[in-house]
Amino acid sequence: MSTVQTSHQQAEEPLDLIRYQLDEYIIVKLRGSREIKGKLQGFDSHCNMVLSDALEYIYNENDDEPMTKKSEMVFVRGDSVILISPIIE
Amino acid sequence: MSFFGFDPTGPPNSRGKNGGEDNEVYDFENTYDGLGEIEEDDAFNDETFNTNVNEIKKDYDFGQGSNTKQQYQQASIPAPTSISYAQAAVSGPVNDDEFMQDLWGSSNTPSLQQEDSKQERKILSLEEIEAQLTAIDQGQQQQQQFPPQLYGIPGMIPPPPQFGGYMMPGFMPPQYGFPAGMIPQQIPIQQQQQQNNQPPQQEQPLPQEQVQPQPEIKQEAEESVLVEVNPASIVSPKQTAPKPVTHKVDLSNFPVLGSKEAVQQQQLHQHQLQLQAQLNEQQQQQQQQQHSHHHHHHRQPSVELTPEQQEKAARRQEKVSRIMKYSGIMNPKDKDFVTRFQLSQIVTDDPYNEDFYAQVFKVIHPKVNGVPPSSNQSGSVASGGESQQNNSIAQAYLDHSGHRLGGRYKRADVALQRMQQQVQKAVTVAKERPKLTQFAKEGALGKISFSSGKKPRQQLEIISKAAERQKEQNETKKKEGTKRYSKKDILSILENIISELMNVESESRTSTEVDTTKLWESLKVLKQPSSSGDEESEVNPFIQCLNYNKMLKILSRLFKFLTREQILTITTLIMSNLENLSVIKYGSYTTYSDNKIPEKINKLVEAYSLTFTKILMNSVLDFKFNEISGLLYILNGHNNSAFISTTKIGLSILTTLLSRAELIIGEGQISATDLSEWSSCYDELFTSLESRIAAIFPPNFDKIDDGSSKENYIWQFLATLSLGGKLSHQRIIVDEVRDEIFSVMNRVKSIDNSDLQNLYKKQNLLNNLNMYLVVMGLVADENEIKELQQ
Repeated sequence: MSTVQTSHQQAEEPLDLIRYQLDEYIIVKLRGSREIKGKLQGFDSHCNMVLSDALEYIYNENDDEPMTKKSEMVFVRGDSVILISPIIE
Repeated sequence: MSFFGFDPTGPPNSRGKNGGEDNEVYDFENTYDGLGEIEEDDAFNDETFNTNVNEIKKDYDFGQGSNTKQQYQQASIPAPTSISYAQAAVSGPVNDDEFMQDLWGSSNTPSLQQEDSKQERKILSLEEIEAQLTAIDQGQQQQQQFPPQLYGIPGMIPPPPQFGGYMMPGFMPPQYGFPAGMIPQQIPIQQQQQQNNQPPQQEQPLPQEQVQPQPEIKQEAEESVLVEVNPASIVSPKQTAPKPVTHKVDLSNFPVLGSKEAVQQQQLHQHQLQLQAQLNEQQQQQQQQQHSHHHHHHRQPSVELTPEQQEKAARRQEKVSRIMKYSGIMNPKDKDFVTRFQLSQIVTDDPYNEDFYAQVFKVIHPKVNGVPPSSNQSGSVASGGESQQNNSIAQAYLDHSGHRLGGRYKRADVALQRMQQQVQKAVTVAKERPKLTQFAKEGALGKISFSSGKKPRQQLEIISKAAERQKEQNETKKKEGTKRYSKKDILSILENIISELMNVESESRTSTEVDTTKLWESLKVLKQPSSSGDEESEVNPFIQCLNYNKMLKILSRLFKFLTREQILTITTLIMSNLENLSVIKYGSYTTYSDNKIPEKINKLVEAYSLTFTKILMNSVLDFKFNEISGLLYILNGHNNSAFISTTKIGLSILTTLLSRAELIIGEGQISATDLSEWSSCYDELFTSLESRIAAIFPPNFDKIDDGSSKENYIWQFLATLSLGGKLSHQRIIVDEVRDEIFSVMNRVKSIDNSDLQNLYKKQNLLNNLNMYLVVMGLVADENEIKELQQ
């Protein structure tokens, strides 16, 4: 892997984008038509993540409204992660 | 055969069931072009490959012979026509040549064998092979059964068959630890065995023969060997044709596949016994081989296995040879290298930073691997602690990797010891390893970056010249104006601060002198001056960072490493930027139409009062009087004090500064000039607050503060403000907050004394109110406000 970088003082890696979101609320899109919103407590190089104050949305073909599940603290295994995004207010 | 355990000797169709389609899409063979080319005129090709160069395909099997599959098949078939020596004596061939032919089978001469194997691959069915096999006598079978033995003995060099061992020294990889003389020593013994075995048959005359003329070079190369090997060739030196056959005999003298001796030797070898011991053992081994050799001879005629048993045995045979195929191909040094390589990804010379939780766990649970904590534990003896750490790494590695010798099974001690050495080596290497993560080689276009367990991927980093130039231009441009920070920029700065802080913290664990300049730079306090009211993205990055909860969490840790001057600088910056803090900016009820502060801001305000306010209070203790008045002056000058006073955090900042100033004045050591400066500063503040003091009470204050909490920041502020002011100031304040005072009195009266559950609320309300009233010499009880009795 090589990167063409414009600023080599602050070399950024892709995972830095997740690091910046530590202690912030993010939305994580998962396999099996699920999403989780929560506060990022920790992560690793496999995108395993620990979210606090998490709300999981499970989308179903037949239902208009997704099912939701609340958890105070949840571990998300990285292999099911599709997308991670900060929540933009 | 490929290196990946994939069997290319199978029919092409079975390799890829999609057949031609696959071939068209990609062809691995093509991708090898030019790489696997054999130098056709290399004189040693024959020795290297044990076959004609033309026969060597790109799938040459270095593990064993090129016709494994056939061997498995052959191995699975017991020889029904095996002839005992006695039988051979009766009906055997009549002359030497034919005898050899008979003994080793017609397919044994190299050229014939090659042809055969070619044909077999394409044409022969299983039955045909079977039929062919029945023509080969048992000696031949034995050879073919056990070629994988070649690699069965680690530390023992399989002589390339055509050399009969004599040319070996040149080929021997030195790391096997055998002196060059060793091999020749053992060969004669084997040959003697052969001679012992052969005589009964040699008496037999051979009948008719089909001798293929051999390539000249081979004949000569082999002749020297054969002189000793085969008495038959001494008798008739010109009849060299069947000679190549004899090399095969050597093979059969290697130990039987997977035999105990092989394993034993492997283990012994790992223990690195002396050469002498190895020599002894090999001799012993050869005896054992001889034994097993005979054993085969005797057993075979009596073998009458059912088809199932045969199949079972064949499957077992195949499995064993598959397992043993490459065994011994790595010598102990290779293995050490691989383990060290793997360990180097695990070990670190900075465990406190990289394995923080493991270290903490160890402190909490000092009993590791059943080793009771020693008296000098917790690393008081550095070397002791280190070796114990190495021990635990090695133990964990062995347990985890399912090492054959490791874990809690047998030989754990030896393995553990070895592993500890490996860990030690790996740690040394890790220490010596350059700390920089990349390395620009002179003249290279990119930088080579070192990967580690943490950053496994990135190999090359290319810095485009154009991009660099553009970046420089951008920077110079930005220096003229003010930089706008995106949210990502701020978060990146913040994370940078955190990692710098962690660096400093870990440094402080080992030494008392800590260099905090990098930490200070990372704060970017002096990066960009700004003052309240600037556009949000152009505000000083440090101030922007203060809008994030995580920054507040590290503040107290951060301030530990800053000097008084640095803290003063930061405080000054904050005072001039108060309205840029979102707790202030969005923290006032006056900006919301429903007078309600959003939940999110409330949480942040909560976090501020737990962290920032306390830190500020501690810092202010160190400030001199004139510095405090200066801060207040800056606060009042850069911000709208009336607005700030409507926020909880703003009000507590004001309280902090005012009360500290009052305390210093109370000590009575302030010069007159300082004092007059202060009073002018106070006047200024008061003027901006005047007529708006009532606004510090949120509109629904009576509902929020029902006395259940001890929250009293508003009364505290009023008390402090009154304390610093003259009588005229106090009168104005009382005038403005009179309504609130009476509203509190009403609430106090409304709580009945018999209502025990709410009595504490009454007390809280009165206490908070009195905090303010006492300053003016008044006191309130549940009925009235009266003058304080001196």
